[in-house]
Amino acid sequence: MTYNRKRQIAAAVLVLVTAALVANEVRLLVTDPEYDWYLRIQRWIAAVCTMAIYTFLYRENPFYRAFEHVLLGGATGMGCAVIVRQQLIDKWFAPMVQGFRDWFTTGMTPEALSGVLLIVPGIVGLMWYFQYSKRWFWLSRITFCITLGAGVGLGFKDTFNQLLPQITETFKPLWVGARIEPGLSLLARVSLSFENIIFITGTISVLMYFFFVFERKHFVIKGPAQLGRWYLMVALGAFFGNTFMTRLSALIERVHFLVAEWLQWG
Amino acid sequence: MEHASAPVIILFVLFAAFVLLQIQRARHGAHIFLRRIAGLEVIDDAIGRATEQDRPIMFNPGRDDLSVNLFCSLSVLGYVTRKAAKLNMPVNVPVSMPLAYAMAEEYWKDAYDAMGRGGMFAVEDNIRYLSGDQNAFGMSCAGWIKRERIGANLLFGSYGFEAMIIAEAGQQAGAIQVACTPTFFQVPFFIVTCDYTVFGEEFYAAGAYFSHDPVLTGSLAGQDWCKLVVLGLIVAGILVFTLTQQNLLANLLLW
Repeated sequence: MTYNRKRQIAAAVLVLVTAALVANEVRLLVTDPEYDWYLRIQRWIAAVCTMAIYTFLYRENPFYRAFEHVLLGGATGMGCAVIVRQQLIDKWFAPMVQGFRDWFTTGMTPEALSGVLLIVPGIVGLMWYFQYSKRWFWLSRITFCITLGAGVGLGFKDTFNQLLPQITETFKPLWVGARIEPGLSLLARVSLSFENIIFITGTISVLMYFFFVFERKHFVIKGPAQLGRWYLMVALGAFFGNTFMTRLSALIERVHFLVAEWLQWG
Repeated sequence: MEHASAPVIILFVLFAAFVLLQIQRARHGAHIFLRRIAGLEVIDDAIGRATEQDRPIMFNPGRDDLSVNLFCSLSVLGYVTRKAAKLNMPVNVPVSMPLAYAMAEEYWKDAYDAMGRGGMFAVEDNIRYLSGDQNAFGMSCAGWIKRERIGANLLFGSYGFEAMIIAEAGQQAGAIQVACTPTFFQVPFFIVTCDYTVFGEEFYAAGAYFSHDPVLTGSLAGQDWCKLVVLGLIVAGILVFTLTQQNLLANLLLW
């Protein structure tokens, strides 16, 4: 099929689809007594955006590109607005101004001090912009080091607080005796013990898979590391299935919007 | 306020000692063995293949803000950019976090300057802040990959659901793809769409693997010794529980 022929067919399909959509809208206008122009325009915009993005499944095209940039601009603008209103104004500027006001009216109370001190993170934050000055670049490193140091310090604390309970959770008996679970049948004990063995071998082998500086020559490391790989693959397969179902429900939601809310079929 | 218990303090001191000791060893030139990681070894081939096809390279540092993960990504970016600069190839870097932009730019520029190729490619064409929003970032990366016909797509960092969108676009564009992520939930999607996938703690090893920096290599070795201690505790805990039918070690550690 020649290029021109393909374009003619695509144009014909486009005209037919547009005509069908217009006809559908006229149907709604005539039959729906509660036809809401404002709501319909909203749904049309949402539907066009959705379909524009879905055209990427066929190929990258100007229609997709236009809406990609619309979304990009919208998301960035929205992000800026959220940061300015919810962070800078609500959590920094307003409490700081209030702090200074209290200081000058009622004196330096603890509440006023906590507000006044907000000027420090403001100055430290502004110093980040010295990234763009060759002469004052070193000042941005102060912000950088404070941010990183605080992040690492908090992360370190969390890691150790979480590590110990995680370690102790893996302490499971290879045989579940009567002292641990009284009143269980032999079959239930065997079943619980088997479960524990699966769990323990998985934990140990996966941990050994992530050794980097020990050579995998000896079977004591090589064997468990290979077993750990299998465990990981099984776990990842389960994750894949689970997440795939979540993504499918997102697709169903979009299709439902297009069919039931936009076209109002059925 | 929550205070550390005695076992936590002991472990903290022990782990810190391991890491510091290994860093010291590495600084004094001791050879530290690092096991082969196939996904990292193939990066040179990916850059080479993109060069042969005369298609640009994309290095995606993910959605990490100023964090350890970002530094791991950027150390690999430095390596990739130096390799690409040697071959006069551009490296495209989509950025999702505002703070990461300035740092990525610095690493990128330094690498080209170090190879004597400073000014060969424009920063604003190659490093672009896209969006902090996952949808917009994913879509924009996908569009960029298709438009520029990326030859090698290297995904190093943390990702959310946009991982699949980006990697699928790379797959459709016929790019050789290497993904390296600490985000466990996205690993299956990278496995099905990328040629090589490196995950979990291997991501943190990547920095040491490429830079051979004594601090990174030493801390990696130190962490392995820490894992060995954890492994020892687990085995001991299991044996004690099995033999005495009481979780004595857990009680002791959580005391």
